Amino acid sequence: MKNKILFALFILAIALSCIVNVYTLNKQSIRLDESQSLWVAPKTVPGIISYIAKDVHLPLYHILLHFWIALFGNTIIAARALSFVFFFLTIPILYKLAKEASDKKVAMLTVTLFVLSPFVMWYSNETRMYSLFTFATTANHLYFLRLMKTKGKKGRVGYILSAILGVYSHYFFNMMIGIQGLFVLGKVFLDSRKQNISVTKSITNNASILTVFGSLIFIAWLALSPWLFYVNAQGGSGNMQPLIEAPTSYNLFATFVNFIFGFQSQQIQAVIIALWPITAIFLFFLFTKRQSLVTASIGYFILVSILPIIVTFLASYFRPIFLSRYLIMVTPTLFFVLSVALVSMSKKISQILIPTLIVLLAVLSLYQNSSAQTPVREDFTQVSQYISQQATERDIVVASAPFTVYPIEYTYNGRARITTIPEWTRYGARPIPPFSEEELQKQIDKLKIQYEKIYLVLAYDQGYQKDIEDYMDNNFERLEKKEFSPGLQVRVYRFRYDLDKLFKEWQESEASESATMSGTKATPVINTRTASPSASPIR
Amino acid sequence: MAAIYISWWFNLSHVGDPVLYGLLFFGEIFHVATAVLFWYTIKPGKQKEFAPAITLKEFTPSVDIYITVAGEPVDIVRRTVLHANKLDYPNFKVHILNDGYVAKKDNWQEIEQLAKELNIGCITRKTPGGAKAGNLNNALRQTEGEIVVIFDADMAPHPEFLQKMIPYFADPKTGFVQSPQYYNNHHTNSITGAAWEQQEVFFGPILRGKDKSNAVFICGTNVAIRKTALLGVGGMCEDNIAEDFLTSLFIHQKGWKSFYVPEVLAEGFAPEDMLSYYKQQLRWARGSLEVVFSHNPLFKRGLTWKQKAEYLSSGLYYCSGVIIAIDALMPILALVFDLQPVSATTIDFAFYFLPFLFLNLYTLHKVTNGNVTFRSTAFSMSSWIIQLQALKSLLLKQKMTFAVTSKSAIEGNFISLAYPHILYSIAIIGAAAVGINREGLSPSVATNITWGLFNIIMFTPFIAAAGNWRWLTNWIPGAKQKRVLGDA
Repeated sequence: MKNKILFALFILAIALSCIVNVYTLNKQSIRLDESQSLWVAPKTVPGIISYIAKDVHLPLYHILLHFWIALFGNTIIAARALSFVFFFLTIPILYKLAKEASDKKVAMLTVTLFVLSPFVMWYSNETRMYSLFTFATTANHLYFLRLMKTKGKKGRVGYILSAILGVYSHYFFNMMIGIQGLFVLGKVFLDSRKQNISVTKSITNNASILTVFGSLIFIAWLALSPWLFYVNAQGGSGNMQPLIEAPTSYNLFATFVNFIFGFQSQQIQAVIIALWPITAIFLFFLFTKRQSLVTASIGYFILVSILPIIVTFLASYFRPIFLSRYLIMVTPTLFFVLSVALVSMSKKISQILIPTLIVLLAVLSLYQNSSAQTPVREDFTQVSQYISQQATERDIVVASAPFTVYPIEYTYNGRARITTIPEWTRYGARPIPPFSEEELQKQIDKLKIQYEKIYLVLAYDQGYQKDIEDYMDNNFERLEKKEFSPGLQVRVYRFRYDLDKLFKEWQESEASESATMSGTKATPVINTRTASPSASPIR
Repeated sequence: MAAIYISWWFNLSHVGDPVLYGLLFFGEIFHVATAVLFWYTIKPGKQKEFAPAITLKEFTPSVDIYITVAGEPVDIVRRTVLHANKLDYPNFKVHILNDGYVAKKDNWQEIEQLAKELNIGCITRKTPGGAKAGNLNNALRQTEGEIVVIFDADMAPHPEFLQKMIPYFADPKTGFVQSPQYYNNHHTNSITGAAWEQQEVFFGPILRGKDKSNAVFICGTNVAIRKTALLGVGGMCEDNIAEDFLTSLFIHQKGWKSFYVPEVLAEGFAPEDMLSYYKQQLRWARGSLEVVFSHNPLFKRGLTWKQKAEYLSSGLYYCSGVIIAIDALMPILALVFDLQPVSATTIDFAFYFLPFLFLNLYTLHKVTNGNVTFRSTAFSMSSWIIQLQALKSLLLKQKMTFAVTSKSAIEGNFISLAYPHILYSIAIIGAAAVGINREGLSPSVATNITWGLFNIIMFTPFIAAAGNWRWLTNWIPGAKQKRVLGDA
């Protein structure tokens, strides 16, 4: 009876997660990255490949999205549904993985925490590659463990397929393969110590797994090599990468907080992080338990959950690449480790902690999805609606950072022209130009003689947002400032009052000149508006 | 990792309040030093070579079995004697060392009658002095065996005890051989459970580790000592309340070897009430602290550096109470008076501290094969008050008498022994209120409250055991297994 109740609750958790996900498909504004994906996906496959080669990602997801939207339409709901499909497919794979490594109870808890995780839920319906990445990683873990258990006899096909899927989903997947390699080598070394034999003998004893695993990752990397050659031939990638700051210890802790508790407001996140001594209590409970749980390869799960984060953190001192969404691949195994830890505590303690954590995650997920204060929320739809209602053809809409032009264009139905600061032509996958105050002044000088008001949309500060704000505040009258979601604001400035009068004067001077020259009344041809070069193909 | 962690403390830009920082800094140096000594003790390595295998036909030195008694219940002593009489060895004599008379215990004559009934020797001391050590020295003068084996009144040996222990003495350099103390009654309540779990760690990886450095020390019972080695250092040391610890140091100074047999060969009883546990821990703390302050092993000639490190490590354990008390006080000071010992962000500290803590706990978990319990760790931490009391009595040169640990539960509620812990818990709650009132639930306040909560959780098993609150002790993770023992 107890098992039936547990199973019913397990299904309920999955159902709740799916309902929230489906509800979110339509209810949230398009996000920046999503708009970029939707801008890229309708291109031809060669076009996608060419564009993505200049970006920091891999082309598989966008190619899949290309065919998906061809079948189901290119609305945001349809696009997000593809990510939801991968999320949904991850569920049985993760259950299988956890069950093979431990038992049914741990498997159910792992999946429950995973599906209710606010972080996972956020990316499970985002039109990006993260749920595909998570799916590939989870499947890869499953087949890797089968390889290890059977010394390479079982799981080869599954491993190679999931590895190819993974290497073409995200560059960070290669880290996972590298860690698996370390694990295999570590096992050889540990076997030599446990069995009191030489390392050479241990290598001989483990020859089959070493050979099989080595061959499989060679094939996976061989499969990736054409892409790498192509990117290199194109001059490398990362031209359009937004500015990422070097991480601090705060970011490291914030990442774990994000994984488990999702994206909360700065104050809540700061308080959660400040409760870090609870980790010390947890470690005492964890390492001083008596109840032992038979868990295959718990060391592997801990390694693949923690090492990618540490490696990325350290690598970011050379090149900042530390973003929690890039590390989403650790969430399935992290929740597995957490589940094992919770289940193997004393019965009374786990009977309190487990339901508390589940309820907390569910509440936080709901809050994250519905609250306007969620830090990662991007209300570009609201921004566009606002501008559509306010701006006229005499006004100009300017987006900074430049890549935020994607979601604005996707949702904007107004008549004003859109441009960016710095001025960026993204056709042909050109890199975003660097910011300079001199160029800013030139650009504004050009705009102020043509337009009456500027609607400045500011988001994703690349290090020069304050400079833009100060320049505009010091030189022009600010009519309005409105924040739509954390970090996304619109500022309205007036360039000039007398555009009508100027226009009339210009008309009269043109007319009198023409009359002087030909003695006839000239008909003025006014072309103060040019058609937007960034007309979105995805309306 | 320890070096990385301690380097954070050497960064003077982290200094907040200098006095508090200094105290914490000192505490962390201590933590790291004891952690390093612990890792040194338990590091993997070759076990010492055992004595050459010989048959007992070739080597059967005469053995005197000493069962030290000072008022323990007769039935407990009877059990021990019955087991001793069944030792499988051709050349031994059993003697009860009856200190009941000098200790003014009522049953000293019953003990004499018991000895007569069971046809064993009984040496009833009539001249007081030296407590247990004096009792043993008195017996040394009256017995002839080449090897003396000491059992506490409750420690009943297995039949194979001598067969396992005596072969080591075939090596003429062997001074003494120690075996573990096992508590038969460890499942009785949370105190016996915690006491056994603490012993399990000590008699497990710690003593095995010390054995590699020839630094095992006599633990008062279940030990076999070569008489010449003991007499060579003047017998058992009567000046120190932990006479066994100091005597083994003297024996090592003379160059004798020691061995540890990591096998349960005798079974006794853990203290069953908080008062008995408290007194036992106080005696051990006081004795070990005396060794550190009055017989500092670092300056003892004749000891190797490994032995010095191991003796120091054992003694320093009982200094941890001071550090725990300092650490526990910090959250209160921060919450009530806004005194911050460090000026860095708490997360910056956590970045260095958590990996260090993780490694410590993981190492402990691994070397004990997962047998270390939360309860034993909590009792160890909660013993800060006992260690402070021992330190105070040492510094004030207060005389401490040798009190035999009671072998049966003393009736009563001993919640008063946990008053400091309860007061601390109340103080944290009050301090939390003050802190929140002053600055709301800021990150600094949240962290300090959590640290206070950490301490309260660690003190809870001790409080629950002292008050005999079973409804609370049932929540505390401890050992589940019950070892089944054989009867005599």
